[in-house]
Amino acid sequence: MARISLQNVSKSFGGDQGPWAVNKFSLEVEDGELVVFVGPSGCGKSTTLRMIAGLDDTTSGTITIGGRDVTGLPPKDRNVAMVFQNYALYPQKSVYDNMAFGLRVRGEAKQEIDRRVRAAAASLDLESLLHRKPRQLSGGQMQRVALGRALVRDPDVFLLDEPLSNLDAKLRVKMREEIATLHARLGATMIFVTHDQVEAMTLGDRIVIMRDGLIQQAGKPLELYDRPANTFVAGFIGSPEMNLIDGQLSDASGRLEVRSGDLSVGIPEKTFARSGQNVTLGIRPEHLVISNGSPLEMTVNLVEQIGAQTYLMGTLAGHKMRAVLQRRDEIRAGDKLPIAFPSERLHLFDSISGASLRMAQTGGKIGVMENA
Amino acid sequence: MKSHVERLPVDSSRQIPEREPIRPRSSLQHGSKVQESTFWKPFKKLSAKIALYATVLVICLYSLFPIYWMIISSLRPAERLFLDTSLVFWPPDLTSYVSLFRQTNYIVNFLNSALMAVATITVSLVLSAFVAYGATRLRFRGKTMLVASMLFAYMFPPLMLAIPMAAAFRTIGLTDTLWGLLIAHLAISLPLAVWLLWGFFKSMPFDLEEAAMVDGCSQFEAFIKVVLPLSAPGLITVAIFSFLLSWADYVFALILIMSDQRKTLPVALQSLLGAHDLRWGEVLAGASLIALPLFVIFIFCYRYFVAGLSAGAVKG
Repeated sequence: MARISLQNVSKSFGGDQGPWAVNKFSLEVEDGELVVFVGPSGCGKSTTLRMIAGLDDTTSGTITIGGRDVTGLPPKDRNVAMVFQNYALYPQKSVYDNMAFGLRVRGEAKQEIDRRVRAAAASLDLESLLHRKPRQLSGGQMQRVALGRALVRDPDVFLLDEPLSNLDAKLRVKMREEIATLHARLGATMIFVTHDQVEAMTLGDRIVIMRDGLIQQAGKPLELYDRPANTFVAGFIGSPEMNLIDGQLSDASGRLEVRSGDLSVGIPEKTFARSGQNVTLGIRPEHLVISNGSPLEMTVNLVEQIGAQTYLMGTLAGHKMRAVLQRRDEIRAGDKLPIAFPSERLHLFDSISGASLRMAQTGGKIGVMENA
Repeated sequence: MKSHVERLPVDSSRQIPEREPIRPRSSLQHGSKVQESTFWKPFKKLSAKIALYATVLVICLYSLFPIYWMIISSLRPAERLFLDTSLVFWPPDLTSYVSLFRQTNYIVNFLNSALMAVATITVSLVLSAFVAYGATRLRFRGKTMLVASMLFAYMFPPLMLAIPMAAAFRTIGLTDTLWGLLIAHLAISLPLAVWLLWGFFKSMPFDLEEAAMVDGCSQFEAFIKVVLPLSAPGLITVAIFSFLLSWADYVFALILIMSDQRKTLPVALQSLLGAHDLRWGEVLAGASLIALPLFVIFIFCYRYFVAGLSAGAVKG
């Protein structure tokens, strides 16, 4: 197992001048860590993974694995294993041969190959399928074979490129758990690429959110949830999406508040935002509370019952809002609910740059979100 | 699957009369129309099928009868060749074959043809696999144009290529050599082979090679160990077409080869025709033997033959 370090790694498919698919990507992945790259399609997450694997060249920057500079090395010399979205099993080979292929290419002894293939098959519950061809397997089984093929090699790093996205919802959850278990058992360094924020939140020791080839934020899952660095991260992590309201910060007799049309929400603590500045106020749907006596009233347009929770969509002072409550059977479309914004749950972003105003200054410990 | 699809219309036609009684009066007229059309439907389908089979049969007869006639005539006793027109007879008579082998260089000519065919297949397979793979996996401008331009030679009748080739071969000393003939055959088989394999490699996912490369292969090894085994159907198609082009070639051999010892079968057969007494029995026996490998290949590999015809929709 090994540490991975990426220093200013950039990739352009159109020469040295860009446009950049990945732009100055720097990241340290600790030994044994599972890092998830997440972002919308085309954000550069898969390209970054492929550069680590050696399947794509870097335009600039350096990649080291286990202290060894692998930037210019071909994939075979990097000792990485990769699991592909469509499994990429060799169709003409049996499950056993698929798993043994990498070891045979590397000239391992026959008995050693057999021992390792059988051990990996046992750990992935594939023993009864070893003689089958890939076309005789279900999607979940193929995915496990692909994992097994990576596993037998005992690589420094596991790279997983959207490995669950071809599976149906139920199987996806099951395989997600299997990968988590596998990671815990092996203690292997893994990089997992996905566009699914739930996969990212549940699997990752750390999440790297990307957009347009740039890292938006890297951190522990709950850190990203609690303290998103910008409106993109705020919107990407958490479901349903965070409510974002554009407004202006104003000083009302020594007390800061965000005003947007008829709506004004008080900001309890100091912030580095100045009075008069255009800001975006954010609050997650699950953090809105119904509070009798609150002057803010939300008109419910749509009620969705999920089971444990009730999702509401409505308007509040002309702004579209979503709210998530613990199950409430009696709420109907058209109801007017008194809504409160708990001040410790508020997020504040710069309207123009989208950057969080609590992180606008170095040190970053200041602002409205101190108590979050 | 197919039988299921075919069964469906029958089921639906059965349902309509069953529903008939519960239809409101106003729809009766419409309903009877439906019934009428469904009554004729099976007959229409049947007549369409009969027409199709009849057409296929006529085409098959049209193209296969001369071959059949060639074979049975070669097996007829020489003295009865122009008297007997029966389509089936027994026992076959091998005199024409024996005479063919005695009086001509058939074995040598056969070996020449076989050598040309094997060499054309081998070189075409190896070169086209590499060229086609490079053309699919490397990125460069005008790639499609380049590959398509290789098919340029197909715009001309072989004779138009053979004459300048003969002139060129004379200056470099390849006249009347099998090497020269091989080059000529490759000039025809290679572009087609590259075109076929190009289409084939294009449809193969990159992921498999990438998986192999991560597993420890160089790109070359990934090509040899993963791509080529998976390309077997494409390679077989290329082999068949190369064989056909070389084995059945008459024009190039006629123009480029002069000495009897180096003639291939089609040209050697032609020299039988040119002799003062025309021995139809031997000619037909020789022609049957030329056709024999083609039959064998077609029977075992027609699947790949058809695949080759549809791939890229090039000429057959």
